[in-house]
Amino acid sequence: VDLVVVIILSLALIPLAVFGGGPVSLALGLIFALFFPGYTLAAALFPKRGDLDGVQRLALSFGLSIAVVPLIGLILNYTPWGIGLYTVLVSVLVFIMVMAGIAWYRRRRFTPEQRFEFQFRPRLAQFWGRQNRWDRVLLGLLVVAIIGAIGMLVYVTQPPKVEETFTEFYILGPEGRAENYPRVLALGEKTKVTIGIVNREHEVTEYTVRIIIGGQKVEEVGVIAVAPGGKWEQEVSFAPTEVGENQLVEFKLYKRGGSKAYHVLNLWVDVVGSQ
Amino acid sequence: LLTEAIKRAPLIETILLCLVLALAFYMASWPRLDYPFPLHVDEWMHLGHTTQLLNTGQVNYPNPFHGGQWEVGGHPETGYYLWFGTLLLSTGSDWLVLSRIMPALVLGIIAFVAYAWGRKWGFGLEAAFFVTFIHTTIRFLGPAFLVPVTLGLVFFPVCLILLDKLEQDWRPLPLIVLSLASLFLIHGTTAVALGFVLVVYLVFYLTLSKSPRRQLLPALSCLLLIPVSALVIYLWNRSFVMREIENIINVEHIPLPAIPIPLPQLGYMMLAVVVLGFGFLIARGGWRNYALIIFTAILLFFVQFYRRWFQIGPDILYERGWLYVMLLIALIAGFGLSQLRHSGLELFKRWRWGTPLVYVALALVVAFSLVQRMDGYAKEDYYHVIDIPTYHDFVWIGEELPEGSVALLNPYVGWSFVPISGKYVYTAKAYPWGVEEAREITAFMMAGATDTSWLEERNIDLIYSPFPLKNPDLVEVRDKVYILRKEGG
Repeated sequence: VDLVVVIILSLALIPLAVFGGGPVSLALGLIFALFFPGYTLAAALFPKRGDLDGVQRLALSFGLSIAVVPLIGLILNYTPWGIGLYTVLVSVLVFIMVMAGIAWYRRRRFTPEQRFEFQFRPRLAQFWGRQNRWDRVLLGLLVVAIIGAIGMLVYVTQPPKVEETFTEFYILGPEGRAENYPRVLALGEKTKVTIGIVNREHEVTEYTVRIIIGGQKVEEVGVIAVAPGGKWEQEVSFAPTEVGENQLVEFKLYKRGGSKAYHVLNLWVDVVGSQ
Repeated sequence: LLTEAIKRAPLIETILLCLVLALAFYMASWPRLDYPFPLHVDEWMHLGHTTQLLNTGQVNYPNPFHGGQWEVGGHPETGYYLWFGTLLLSTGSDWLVLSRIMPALVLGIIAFVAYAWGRKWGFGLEAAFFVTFIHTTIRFLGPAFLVPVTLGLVFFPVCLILLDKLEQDWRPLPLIVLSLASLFLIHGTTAVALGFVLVVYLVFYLTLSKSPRRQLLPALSCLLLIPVSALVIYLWNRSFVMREIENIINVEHIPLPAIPIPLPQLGYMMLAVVVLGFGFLIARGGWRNYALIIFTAILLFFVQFYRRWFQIGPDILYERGWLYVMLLIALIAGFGLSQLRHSGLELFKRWRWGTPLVYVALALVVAFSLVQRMDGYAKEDYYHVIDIPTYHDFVWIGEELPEGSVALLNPYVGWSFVPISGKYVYTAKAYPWGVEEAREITAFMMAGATDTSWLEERNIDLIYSPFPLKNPDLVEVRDKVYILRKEGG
């Protein structure tokens, strides 16, 4: 039963890992990489019931998985396929299946009483009925302790609530990427950039953007209301009003009610009479 | 009540084990409960190497911390990157998620494996409890950091379990060799320390064990195969090994003061139990107990006196040595506590209230140990490499800038830039290295980064500067983010 469960869960992981994310994929992926390789390796080497006690078998499963996984990766490095999503998943899966196959074969050589087998008792009501008062109390405590341990793991691994408040403000080039920013502009000709704002102030915030060249406002955008965690991005055009080299174009972000610029971004341009 | 409890000891032990594992999860996460990112530069560095390994699909990759220049030879901790890379791929999760989960899980695994080893000798639970006390500092690292040396600690109790099994048959032999070979790829220093522990253990077994079922051949083979497992790393990464050998011969010591003895941080109650544990081990005798005493004492001597007195050998053994010592003394403390229980029960067995009294006393020892340990953690200083706005700046750079872009920024912050943005940094350094370089870069930024040719010669594409820059060739596209305009751009 144990080896079949290991193989089924390992096979189930592949689509989950490929199509990504989520707590199920996380939990299964951790077991796949941290437990199954070692478990099947230990099962292949120690097929008899008395070879290892249950706790040692579990402990070695974790330890040996940590030992095996890097070596599989190193071997993959010398194959033409290299180290990637599919190659890693498939090679670890192949290792698990081969070891499970060896374990199954070796276990078959022993009588059912001798061979190691995971005892699974699905008759919970019958099991519970056999317990006396003390056992029931302790079993209840055990369930609470297990839930407590898992709960502690979930609690400590949650990222803390972020108290810091700030706003992201940026400009992108004409293609909407952080490249090819205008260097030479023609007098009076409109030039486009994309302006972006991400609100991390934890409340709806209103902004205004002013574009200033040589101390003179040439464009204003706003009022822009952005929801907490929300992003605003828009193409904005502006035209220079004076010819000259190395003119400073300032993009100033104001929060509503603020007289001082919240963020200022600078772009230096040469403005020519005609291009 | 007591009789009922004794009858159900295994169930009670399982409940307590769950509590110990919960404690392990908490202890490993304590320094980062109020901070969402990895703490120490080493954690960031290893994340950067792992993401680069996955991006390139091979273990020899352009070094992202040296502007993407090709690095000859593999990294000495490649095994760790392969392990963490496999976790990232198989869970389909972000490194940020795993970097919060894994320290807790790894310490949980170390505690559980220690439990499995100690359980055979009657002190599993106590050993697991004290293993959660292993301290973490920014100097010698520890279980609160997701780093190769922490992962390496798992192998100590694993190999001790396998060694115990080796006394009965040969099957653990390949597993010990496999574990050690893998550990050489994950963290060579830990592999050397573990190899030393294994050698002492096997020598004591071969010379002092009087067991009629003694297995000479597997033990001797194991002794001989320990150096063979080191060959894996030698064959794979010869240039690295030669570099290390040269470092050992021509030692350049790390310019840092000696590590203050970190044992008080574990709490005086635990230390008292450790002393008792040593005493009980000596009193009980036997080759196994002597081996545990000897390799712990030698490691303790090494980290405390060897470097200070002799100033030879690679510093890294000394720098990480306290972790191995703390793991071993945690096991001895576990033994001490269990013997305290046995001795107490034996001493008061005729007195009606003796047994409850012993358990109350033990509960007090555990509670005081825990309080003192938490106090030790509270006194430890940790630092943050980045804040939350900086994280979002780096994410934005990763999304908006072309592949292979090289950034100039503070070399100490540079470690975090690579894993977050997926781009390269011109240079990244960890204190105490790179002080001069960091000063030069800061001075360059403070002066406005006006020398464009300096940037072009170094293939730098962007600057992340806390100081305003005054170079017309740089576009300030976001707060602190300046892009160098390319020809025609």
